[in-house]
Amino acid sequence: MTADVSHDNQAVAESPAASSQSVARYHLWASLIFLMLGVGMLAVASIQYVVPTTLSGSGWLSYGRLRPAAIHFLLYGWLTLGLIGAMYYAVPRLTGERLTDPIIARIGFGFMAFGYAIGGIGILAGSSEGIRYLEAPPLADMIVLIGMAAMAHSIVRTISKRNDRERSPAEWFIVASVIWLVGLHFIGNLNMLAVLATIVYSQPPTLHGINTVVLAGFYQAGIIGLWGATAGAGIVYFLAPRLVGLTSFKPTRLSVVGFWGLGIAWVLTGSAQLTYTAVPDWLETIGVMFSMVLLLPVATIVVDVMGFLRGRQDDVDPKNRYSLKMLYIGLAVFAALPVLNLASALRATGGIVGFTDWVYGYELLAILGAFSAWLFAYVFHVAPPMVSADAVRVQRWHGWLTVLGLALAGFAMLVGGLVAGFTWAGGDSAGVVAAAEGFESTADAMWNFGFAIVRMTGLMIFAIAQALLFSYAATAWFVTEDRKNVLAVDPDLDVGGQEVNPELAVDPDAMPSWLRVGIIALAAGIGAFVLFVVLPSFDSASATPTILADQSRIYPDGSDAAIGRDIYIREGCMYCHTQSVRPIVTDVGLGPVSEAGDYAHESPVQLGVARMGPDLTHLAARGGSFVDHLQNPRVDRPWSTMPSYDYLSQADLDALLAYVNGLK
Amino acid sequence: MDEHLNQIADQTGVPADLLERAARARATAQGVAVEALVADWAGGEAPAPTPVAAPPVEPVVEAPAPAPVAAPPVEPVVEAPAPAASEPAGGKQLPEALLRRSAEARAKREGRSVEEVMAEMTGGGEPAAPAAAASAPAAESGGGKQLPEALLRRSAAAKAKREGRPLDEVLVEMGLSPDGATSEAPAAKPAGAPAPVADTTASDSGEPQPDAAAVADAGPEPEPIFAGFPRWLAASFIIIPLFALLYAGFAPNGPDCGTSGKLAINPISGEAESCGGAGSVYFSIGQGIFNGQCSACHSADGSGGVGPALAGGSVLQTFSACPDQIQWVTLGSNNWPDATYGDTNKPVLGTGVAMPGYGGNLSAEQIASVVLYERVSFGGADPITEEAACGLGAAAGG
Repeated sequence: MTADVSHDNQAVAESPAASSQSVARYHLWASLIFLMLGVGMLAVASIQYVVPTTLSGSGWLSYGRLRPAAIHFLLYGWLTLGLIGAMYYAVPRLTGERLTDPIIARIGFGFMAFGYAIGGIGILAGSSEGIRYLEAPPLADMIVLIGMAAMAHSIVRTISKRNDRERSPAEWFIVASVIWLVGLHFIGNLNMLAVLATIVYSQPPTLHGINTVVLAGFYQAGIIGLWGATAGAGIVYFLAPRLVGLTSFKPTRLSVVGFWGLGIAWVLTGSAQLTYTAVPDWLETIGVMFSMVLLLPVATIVVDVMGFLRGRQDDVDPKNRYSLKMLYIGLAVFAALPVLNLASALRATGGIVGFTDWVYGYELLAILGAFSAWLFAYVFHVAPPMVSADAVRVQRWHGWLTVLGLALAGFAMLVGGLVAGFTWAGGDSAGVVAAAEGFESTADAMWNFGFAIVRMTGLMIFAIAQALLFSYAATAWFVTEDRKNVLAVDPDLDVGGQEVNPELAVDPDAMPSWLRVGIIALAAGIGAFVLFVVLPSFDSASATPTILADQSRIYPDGSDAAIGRDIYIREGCMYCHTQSVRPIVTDVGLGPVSEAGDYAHESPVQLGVARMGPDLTHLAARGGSFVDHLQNPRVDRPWSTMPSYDYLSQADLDALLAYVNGLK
Repeated sequence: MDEHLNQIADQTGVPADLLERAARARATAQGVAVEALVADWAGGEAPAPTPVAAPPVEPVVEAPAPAPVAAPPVEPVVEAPAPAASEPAGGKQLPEALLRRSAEARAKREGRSVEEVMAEMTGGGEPAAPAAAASAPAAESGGGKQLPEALLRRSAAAKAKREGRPLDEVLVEMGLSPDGATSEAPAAKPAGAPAPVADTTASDSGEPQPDAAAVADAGPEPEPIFAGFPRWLAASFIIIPLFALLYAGFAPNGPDCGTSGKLAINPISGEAESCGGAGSVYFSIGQGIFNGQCSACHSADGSGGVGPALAGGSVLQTFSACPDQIQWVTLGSNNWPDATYGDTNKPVLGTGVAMPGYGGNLSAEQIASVVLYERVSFGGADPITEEAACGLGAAAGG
């Protein structure tokens, strides 16, 4: 399975597997580059959390911009492009068909990679849109959408060929995930259309108020579940048989149930991170119910794949052993994800872990844990340079460092979040001091600092592991003579493709299964959209402004407060500060509980992701001056890890101050 | 040519389009005309090689036919158009060339001598037992089958490998007896380790098996809903949705009530209420009075104006104990005995405007109600405990 064999054997060169070689290769390299960028930035951000003055001179590397940009590069540049590359590798091998329109596929790659790159740069430059995972500016979103359409065309059309045979579960997962990715991107970035609409209308139509949060929750759950998990599972179902020398995975009842369960359950957990916030109560309950249900398809998929692999351990070719281990690691973390999600959703536990580092721990284990592990399994399986003599040493180091880094960082975030949550909930029984002093006593605590150090260590170790992978791949690239055929084409497994087996023939007049999948996928997506976006919009409470909204939380265009709010958005303040008082003991003393109508005049609502700093909803009403805090947070709060905003112009600082002082 | 193809198709039960494909491949490989080849199969002379080669229908699969590497995927193509080997079971004689080629491929794959394999295929010799035996070529004609068992077993091996199923299962499906204790290696790789045995043997714990699905394919019986599921997983599929429904129906969907210190604000109405669901009457009284008397200076939302802000919890910071606040509202600035008031020692006339004392206008209960409203609404205090702390409700003396 070295480059020589693929070079010599003409059949291999003309096989369907060869038709996607170049586009799969492009994706592989692009994703590895984005991985390096992303983990490097994330590691720096984690250092900044411990030593806030690190690289704080310019806005470009400020924590509030650096961290979301890092996650953007990792979620989209590394994971999304990487999974798509794996799909291009897999689909011709699964179907036995040559890739449809490889030139369009390559154009799609160009648009997506470029779009994601400028999206991340846009975030660093201070053009964040203010919604988690949707921060990229509209122009970047539009470019990515074009690329996605091209990619979806290639992949779906290839899979749709040859309806005369049964399909492997990998194909269902791949088709559905691609359709869902395009749909999610479109719905999540509807403001792209608003940008176009400004050309026609003076006032672009946008969602307002708490519904922006609901839409964001729907998208966030979707990008993790409908895209990351589904596409990842497709690659798992593709890889598992190949690692043991087989060509396909025959569909089992488990895989069918896992597929539909995944598609239906995950996206409906969109409100899991919004427990006790101002979103409608019935929506929160649905989020909890489906967070419970989500345990089932995830367990089903894990059981299915593990069952397949369990009896075949001895069939694993030694060069595939590392990939198999990575597959197992990914499956193990994948199995834990719905449990972590459920802890956020259930009211009893959500009140504890909500707005703590637990949220970030879940994100890390999903993106860099489960899905990345599967992608590493793919990378080590396909790239011949990895299987040369040095490969074992690289694999060992990469494996240990990756697992160690993830374990440390994940532990720090999850356990740190738990400890913080319990401490805040403990509070003073009268609830008086829970607000400012209670929070600060935990921010000042040694254990908080300790967890930050452990997290930083873990992320740095993880970054070193990926640097190792990247440098090895890059070195091998220069050494390889036949660079065009770098991705392995296995003469045994790939050249034959899926034979037409008369016994598996299906009625050619019946609706093609890929079309069935596509329609039902679309229906599930529309259903979730209606539930999560349309119905809450009809809730009058979200549209009717409260007294607080009309008096304090109103931002006329051009006013200082409006400009200040824009600065708040683009500096990423919401990643560390919340603006949501919940009706639980933790939040007693923070002021009146936040209601939906409070946010009626804002779009997008900066509800906040977690509390690395205190809640700001009624900050100004608690008194105090914030001029010093913005310019040097440690002047009045020595324990603070907030970056300094000294780099803002005086006008910007004044505007930001006007906004903050209006938070009554 | 179509006539010949249909004839062969009828005889062997293999679809004509498959035969055509195989014929084209064979013709290309041998350098003969495809029509001649098909005619030969249907009962004629072996055609002489000509430079004319029919364009292969499936270059992917057929082209590597002569290459030794691609033996396994060639198998199914070889199988289909090979009606009967030289078994005297009433089938057509296979051309010698085809037979030899097939034997060569198989011999290479199994690591045996070509002569041995040929002998098996033409006569029924004893099955050899190489280390990686793909199939036991029993020479019996298998009870009236059209295809000889040797070929069927080979086809089964290829199929099992292609689909990732245990060989025994495929054999059973095709109506053959599974081979004995040997774990068949469906792959022809020289590194052939024993094939997956655990799949078919370790079934007692209810591991997911493709068997159940295979049974469904083979037979008309409906598949049980949780076919192939481990028992614990099947049980979860019933228990967890049930639990979710119970949660939706019965779990408290409102704020967390219980021990003191927890807030009870109705998420729908936004009003404070006790955990029993009843509104606090004192809260409503206080709200009315506040809107009438106090909002002028303190704003309806407590954000302040002439008077200091009450919102954001600051009222609780100034007056950690309710009775202190009641006393302040009762007496007002002008009657206050000290120069400062409250926990934070605010100067009495700090804002320049005096706080009126309401002792003469409102009853003690009314003042307590207003203070309760302020502390709950603007401070976020728990109405249950505050009621008691402010001396209201059943627990207090009035």
